Amino acid sequence: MIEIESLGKSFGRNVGVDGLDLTIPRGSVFGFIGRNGAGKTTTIRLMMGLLVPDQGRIRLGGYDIARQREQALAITGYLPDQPYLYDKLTPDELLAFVAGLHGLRRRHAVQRAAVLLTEMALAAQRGDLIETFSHGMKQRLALACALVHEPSILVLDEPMVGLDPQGARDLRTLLRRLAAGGSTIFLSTHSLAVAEEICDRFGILDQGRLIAEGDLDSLRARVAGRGAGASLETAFLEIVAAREGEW
Amino acid sequence: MQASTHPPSLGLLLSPRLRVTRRALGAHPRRMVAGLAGLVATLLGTLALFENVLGYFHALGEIGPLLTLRLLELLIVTLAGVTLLSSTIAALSIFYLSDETALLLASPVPLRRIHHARFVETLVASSWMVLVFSVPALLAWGRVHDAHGAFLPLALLALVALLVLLTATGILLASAIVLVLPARGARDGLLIASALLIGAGLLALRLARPERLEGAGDAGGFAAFLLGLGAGPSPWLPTTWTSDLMRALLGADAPAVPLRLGLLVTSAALAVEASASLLGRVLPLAWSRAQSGRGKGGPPGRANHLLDALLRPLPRPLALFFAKDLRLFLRDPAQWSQLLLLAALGAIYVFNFSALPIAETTAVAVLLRDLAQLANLPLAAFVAAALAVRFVFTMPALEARTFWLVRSSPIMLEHVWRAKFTAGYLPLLAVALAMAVGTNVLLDAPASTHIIYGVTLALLLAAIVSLGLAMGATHAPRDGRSVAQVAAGPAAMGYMTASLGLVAAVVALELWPLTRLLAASRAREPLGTGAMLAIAVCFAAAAALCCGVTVAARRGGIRALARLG
Repeated sequence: MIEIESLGKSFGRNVGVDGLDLTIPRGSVFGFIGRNGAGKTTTIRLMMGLLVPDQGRIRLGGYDIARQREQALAITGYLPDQPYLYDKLTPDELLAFVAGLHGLRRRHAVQRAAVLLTEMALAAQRGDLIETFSHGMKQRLALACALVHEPSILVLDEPMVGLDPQGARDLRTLLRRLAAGGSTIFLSTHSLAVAEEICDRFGILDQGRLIAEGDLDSLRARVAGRGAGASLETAFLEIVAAREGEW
Repeated sequence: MQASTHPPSLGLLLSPRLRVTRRALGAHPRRMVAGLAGLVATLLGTLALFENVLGYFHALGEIGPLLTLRLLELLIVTLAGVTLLSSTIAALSIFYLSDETALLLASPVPLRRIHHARFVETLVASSWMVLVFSVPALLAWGRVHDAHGAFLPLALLALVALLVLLTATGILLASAIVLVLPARGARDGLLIASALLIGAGLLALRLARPERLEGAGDAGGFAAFLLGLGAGPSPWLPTTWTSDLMRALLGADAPAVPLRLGLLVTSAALAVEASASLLGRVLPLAWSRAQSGRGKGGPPGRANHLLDALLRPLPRPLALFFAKDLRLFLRDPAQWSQLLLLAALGAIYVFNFSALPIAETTAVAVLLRDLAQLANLPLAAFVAAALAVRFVFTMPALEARTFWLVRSSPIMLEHVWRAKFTAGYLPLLAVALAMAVGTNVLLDAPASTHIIYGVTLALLLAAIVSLGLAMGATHAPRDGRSVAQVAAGPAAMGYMTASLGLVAAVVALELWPLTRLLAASRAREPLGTGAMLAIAVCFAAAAALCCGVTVAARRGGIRALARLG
C-alpha cells in the first residue's frame, strides 16, 4: 500500500507538488498522468526519498520514507525516467551489485539475475558491456534492477520509453501479473492507451495538484456529454482543459 | 515540396559548433575576460622565457646560433609528434564516435562535405593550442636571430600547413585503425599508447641525466647533449621541410623560401585531398565498422570469481562497491592509462633521490641530504594531493548519474561513504608511503623519521581523501562530463588549493620539530624535556588539524551524497 498525505514541495517560487493526498491499495496498478512539468517526477522522487518534502508524509508498505527509509526502500523497486547504468559493467555484474545493495545473498542474487535476464530477453547479452546496449535494452535492464529484490511496491517513471512493441507488451503482461500477485504499482506515463489497458485507477496531476482521481469510469463521468465511450486520453484532455478554464 | 538540390554549405555544417562555442563564451563574459587575460599573460610569460633561454644560448659564441636552430628543430618535431597523436585521437572521436556524424550521415550531405566539416573540427581540436603557443616561441626565435619582419607570418603559415598535413594524416590513420579495429578498442589503444609514449619519453629524458651538464661547464657539453637527442633529420619528413624553411627565414636565405613553403603547402593540400577522396569512399563503411564493436565484460569465470573470493572477508557493502569500482576502473583506459604516466613520474621521483650524493660525507652533501629528507614529506603529500584530484575528487562525479541505484536501495550512505573512502585512501597511502619512506631509506634517514612520516601521511591523506569526496560530491556534474573534464574544472582547482593549504599547514606545524629531531640525530645529542614537549604539541596540533578536517568533511560528504541522488 502507498499512502501520501498533504505532500508539498516547492523549488523557490515554483510549486512542484501542492497538497497531494493519495492512497493506493495493495495489488493495484495506479496510473499517474499529467502534462510535462505537472510534478509527476517530483512526486516520484519524493516517494523514493530522493527529495525531501516541504510538508506532508509518504508511507510505503506502512513505512515512513523519511523516518524508516531503509525498511521502505527494502520493499520498493524504482525505475527512474532516465535510468543511467554503469556502462562498463555487464548485466550480470550490475544485477549482482544491485541485489547486494538490497541485501540478497550471492546465490539468490545469481538466481534472480538469471530469471530476470531471461524474462527481459537479455540472457544472450549477459556477458556484454552495457555500453553496447540499445536504449530499449538499457530500459529493460533498469527494470530488472528494480525487480531484483522482488519488491512488493514498484514505482515506475515512464517505463515504456524506448521499448519496442514486443517489449512494451511483455511489460504490460508483467505488471498485470505482479499486481495479481499482490504488488502495488505506481506508474507515471504519457502512454495513455497503455495506462488505460493496465491501470485500475488513475490520478491526474496538473501544476502540482491532483485534479482528478479514480477509476476510468469515474474520470469519464467528469467529461461533460461524452459519457461511457470516452477514452482515457479524451477524459484526460478534457479534464485538464476544464482546469485551465477555471484558471 | 521539392527538396533543394544544393548541398549545405560548410558554414552551415559548422554552425552548430560555432553557436555552442559563442553561447558558452557569452554566458560568462567575466570568466571569458579573465581567461583571455590569463592567456595573454601566459603567452607573454612564454615569450619572455623563450627569449631569455634562446638569448643565453645564442650568445655562446659561434656555436650559439647552431644550438638555437637545433632547439627549433627539436621543438617542431615534438609539436608534430603531439599533433599527430592528438589529431588521430580527435579524428576517432569526431569522425567515428560522435552522434553528430550519425546525423550528418543520415542527411543528404555529400560525403566530401561531411569530411571537410569534420576535418575543420579535428584540425581545431588537435592544433589550436599548438598554434597559439607557437606564436610567442616563434616570435622569440625571430627576435633573437634578428630576423626579417616577414619571419613570423611566413613561419606561422608554414606551421599551419604542417598542422593541416598532420591532421589529414591523423584522419587517415584513424580511418585505417577503425577499418581494422572497432573504434572503442582503437581509442582505448591510442590512449594507452599515448600515455606509454609520454611516460617513456619523460623517463628517457631524465635517465639522460641532464644534471651532468652542470659539471661540464662549457657549451660543448651542452651541444653534445642537444645534438645527441634524437636521430638526424630525414629529408622526406615534413618536419624537416618546416625546420629547413624556418632556418632559411631566420638566416635570410630568401631564395630558398618560396620553394620550401610551396613544397609544404602543396603537400598539405594533397594530404587533405587524399583524406577527402578516401573518406568520400569509405566513410560509411568505416562508420559502420566503428559502430559494430561489441564490448565484452571480464571473463565470467576465473577473474571475477577470484575478485569475489578476495573481497569476501570484507563487509558486504564495502566489498560490493570495491568490486564494482575496480571493474569500472580497469575496463576504462581513460581512467587508468594515466597511471602509466604517473608510474614514470614516480620512477623519476625516486631516481632524483638516488642521484643525490648519498655516499659523500662533505658538509654540503649532508646538508643536501637533510634538505631532501625534509622536502620529502611535502613532496609526497603534494603528489598524493594531485593524484587525489584525479582519482578521489572525481569518484562522486563518476557515480552521479547512476547514483539512483544506490539511493533507491536500503543501504546507508555512511556505508557508501566508507566504501568510497577506503577505495581512495588505501591506494593513495600506499603510493605516498612508498615515495616518502622508500626515498628516506635511500637517504639513510633515522627510524624516527620513517614513523613520523608514516603517521603524518596516514592522517593527512585521510583528511585529503575525505575532503575530496565531500567537495567532489558537492560539485559533481550530472551532464556526463568525462573524468578528465571534471578533474580540470574550477571545483577541482578549488579542491587542489584546499588540499595544498592543508599540506602547507601540516608541514608548517611539523617543520620545526622535524628540523630539531634531525639536528639532534646528526649531533647525537638527546633533546631536553622542554623541547620534547614542544615537539609533541606541534605533532598533536597537526594530528588534530587532520582529524578535524577528516570528520568535518565526512559529515559534509555524506550530506552531499544524499543530494547526489
